[in-house]
Amino acid sequence: MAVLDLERGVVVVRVAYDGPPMAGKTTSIRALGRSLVRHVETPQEIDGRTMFFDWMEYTAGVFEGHQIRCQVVSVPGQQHLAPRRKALLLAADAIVFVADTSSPEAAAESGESVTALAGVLQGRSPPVGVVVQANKRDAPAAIGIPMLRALMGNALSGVAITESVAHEAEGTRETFVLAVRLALDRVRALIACGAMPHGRPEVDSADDLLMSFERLDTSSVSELPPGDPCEVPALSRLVRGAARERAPRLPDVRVPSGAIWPAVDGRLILHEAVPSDLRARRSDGGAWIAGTGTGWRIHSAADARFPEFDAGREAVVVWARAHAARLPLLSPGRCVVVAESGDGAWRLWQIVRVMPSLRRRLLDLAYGSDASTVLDALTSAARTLFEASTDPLSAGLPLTFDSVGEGERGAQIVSLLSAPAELDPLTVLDPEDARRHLRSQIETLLNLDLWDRLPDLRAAVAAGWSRAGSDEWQARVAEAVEASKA
Amino acid sequence: MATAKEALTVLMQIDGIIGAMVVDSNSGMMLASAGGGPLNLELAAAGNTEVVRAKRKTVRSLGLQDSIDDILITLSRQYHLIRPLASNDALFIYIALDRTKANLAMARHSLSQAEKDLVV
Repeated sequence: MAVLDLERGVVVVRVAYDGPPMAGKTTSIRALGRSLVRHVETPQEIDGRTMFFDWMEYTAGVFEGHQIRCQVVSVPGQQHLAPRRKALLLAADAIVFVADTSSPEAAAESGESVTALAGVLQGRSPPVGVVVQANKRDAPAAIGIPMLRALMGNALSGVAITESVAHEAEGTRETFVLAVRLALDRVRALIACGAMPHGRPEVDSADDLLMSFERLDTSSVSELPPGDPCEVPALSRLVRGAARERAPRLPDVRVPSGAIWPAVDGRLILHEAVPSDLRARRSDGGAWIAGTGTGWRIHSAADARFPEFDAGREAVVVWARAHAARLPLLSPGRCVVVAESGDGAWRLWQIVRVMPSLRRRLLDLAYGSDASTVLDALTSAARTLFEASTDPLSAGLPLTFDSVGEGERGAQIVSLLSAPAELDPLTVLDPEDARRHLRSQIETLLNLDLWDRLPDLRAAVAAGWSRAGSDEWQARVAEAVEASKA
Repeated sequence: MATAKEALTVLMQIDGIIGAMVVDSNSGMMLASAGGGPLNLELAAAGNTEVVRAKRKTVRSLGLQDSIDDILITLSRQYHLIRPLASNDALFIYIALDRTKANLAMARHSLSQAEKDLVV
């Protein structure tokens, strides 16, 4: 997985947190996130169980003059998700194995899990370093470290063991730094054997990883052979290979007249957004996407394929009308284009410059700011979203903290547009519906993204952050915070 | 015997202290930090890692059979002190002090004491 990204001046490494179910993998990453003031994304969680992974990025430190960009992921611990676990482990440069040492029984399960991990890592060269993080050291019946070593047997020889109480963030940071050190040892070995990949990593965000994950055929993952990573496909290479197989050609500035809207600015966008070496890859649901991490979203729906150019051009006209009718509410830097897909057909693409959504801005501010600042930002975001919801031009558009941002003239849609046929002009919300919709959006944000700030936020509300009656949205945010799940 | 967090708590009592951290000189990442004010501690950790590496390289190049006790960098308004751990040369402590408030000799003494007590 390690990649030397000279363009951004960083070396990218991945540290994976492995361990048996409920050992404290997610807790460790979240504690680390709080300690490093970084946001942890968890694509899907059911009853506190990780279904895919937790994701955190952290750029710091220095390696051979380059900053170190760490992708920190946790694996799902449940047995039926083993193929997902294996895929993540195969793409890791270092592993933190979180062992539950709260009781002899739990530690025995961790010992078995270590054996499974050793099987996955067997034969990898350069080897992947493992740190065992003995967690739950505050438990009354916690076992001793010598006993943990005995339970692990010879599955992993010479591993370092650190101690932690993850829910109190004790020992998690030291463990992480040790794991980064091991990842850098692996990078040195890859450089020495001439196998260090260069360029931008295929997986550069939680979204990228989720897409590659959902695309991955789990049975093929479980059949991946062990061996030399200089030869054996890691997850990223596997996904890259699958994407190359069937990827349609991306549009470029040579598209025919009438195939692009807006005609002049659209070509300028193509020039900027679609460099010649960019490749599309398939996302969940069959859509083709490109440009992740470049500041552009390049998207073609699964069914946006036309056997004839004329049919594609007619579709561009329909899309252009849908855009033009809502132009004041749309973020700038957009175009719609139909281009040859390389297999004799034509494909319609939507290209949008990435602008920060209300949610992104809020999360960027949420970790590292005091509770009052977060509440003020949430109030401002709620007001902006309400403004967008009641704008007649927003009829049928997606209205969430993710799809709406704030431009120079107020609320604006920053997401891709739905297909024109789905833009129902009759669905504009009346103010009361908009308030209800907004309340549900605020609650979702609080419970999913800001859950670990909720105690702080509640305390700030209780201490009189909102001056009742002075501002409608301040009062609504305060209500939502108080009503949020503990 | 003190953990990194406990050692930093002691260091934060030095007169004129601005910030303190324990840094892994292999990766340039912080294991623990305290204070900092306007200082970007992550950046300082990475930058001072380069300082430690460069000085060690120089000591080796000169063929000196010696080790670094501490490194002092004097700015016009601040002192920056770096002290590798004798017990673990992959780690060092870094503190930044306000020159108008700090007593350099006392600060070096406190840093030396904290380094001896620190167990990571």
